[in-house]
Amino acid sequence: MAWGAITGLRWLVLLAAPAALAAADAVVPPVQASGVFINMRGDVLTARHAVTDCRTVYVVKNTRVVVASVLALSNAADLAVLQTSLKPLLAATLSEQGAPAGHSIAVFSEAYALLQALPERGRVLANALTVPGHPGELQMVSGSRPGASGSAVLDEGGLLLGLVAERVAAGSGGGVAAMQPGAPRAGMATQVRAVPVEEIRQFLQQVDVPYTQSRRAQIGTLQSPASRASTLAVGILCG
Amino acid sequence: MQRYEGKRRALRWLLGLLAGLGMAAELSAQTPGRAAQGVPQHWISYGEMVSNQFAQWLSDAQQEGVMELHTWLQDRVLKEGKPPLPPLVARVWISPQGMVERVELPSLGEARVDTRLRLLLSSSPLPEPPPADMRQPLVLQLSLDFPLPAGQ
Repeated sequence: MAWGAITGLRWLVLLAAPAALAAADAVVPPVQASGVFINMRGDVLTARHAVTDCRTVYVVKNTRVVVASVLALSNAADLAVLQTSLKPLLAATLSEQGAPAGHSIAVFSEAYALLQALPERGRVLANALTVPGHPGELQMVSGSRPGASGSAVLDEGGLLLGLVAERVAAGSGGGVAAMQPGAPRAGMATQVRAVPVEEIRQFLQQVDVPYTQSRRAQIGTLQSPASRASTLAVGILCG
Repeated sequence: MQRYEGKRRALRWLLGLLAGLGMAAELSAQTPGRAAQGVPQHWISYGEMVSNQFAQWLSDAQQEGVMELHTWLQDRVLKEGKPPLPPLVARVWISPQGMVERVELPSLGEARVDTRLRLLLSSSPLPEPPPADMRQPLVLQLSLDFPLPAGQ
């Protein structure tokens, strides 16, 4: 796959050859943030700022909305784990290696609500590029929009590289804004900071939340990370 | 209505999980662990997703026909005194669009129930299209069982 041929964000959404699933017709409740199943018991990893100061946290998956309890909050990173009664179809697999620091790679990350409505989701291979030169961090240039906080960053093999935390620069630059509804919308590509998988792993170990990790791709060549992201994703409602 | 609610409560324990995953050409249903060796990880991951989706469809009381199937399974054991069904090996063909195109199952002994089960497994699209390189059919072990009341 010729990722090297990508020269601009206009070409970031790459379409695979045959497979296509129509976007779900289901109405998505107005979620404010996103999350990802982190294990098969239904725990959800999300951004800490998406669930702090909520009287009640609701987690949305397809047509189901359940009340979640906060299982753990990170002091060091913008991370939280929610306990839910949902039964995931799959849970995210953490990348053992993380994103390469020296060069850019194509990745996929999208807000839950937008992901559910994404046309021809099964054909989307990537919608963002990592930005090299930020050791210990995961930054990417993407079209991420409000509601993306807590969404998974998946590599082309469907492995979890990070969790979207905040927008650090929009358009011509400037400002740091949490990526929640109400935050200013970028009219063009946005630089986004995600919590890297190394910090996620450390946090999950500290709070004793089970997870799986691997170096092996969880999806095949030309299989869509967007579809996998949709399977893994949940919406977060702060009540 | 009350009777229906009673049945809905019963659903929670009626259906066991689907278990066992394999790719037809390489698998024997009796040895899923050994069969999984050498199977690409992304096939396994996709198969797990399909298996869990089937389990959700077969446990969803809102799905038309689920109640009928559950009642049949329950009556078969509790009223007719038959033994629980052994695990069934299902062979599943999935289109590039993620639709279940064909399901082969051994007969449960009643054509109406066979048809209902096949319909339940093939009426909705799967959340993801299959890997293009994945061999089909996908072979899944299907366990349709429930815990017997105490003393039975």
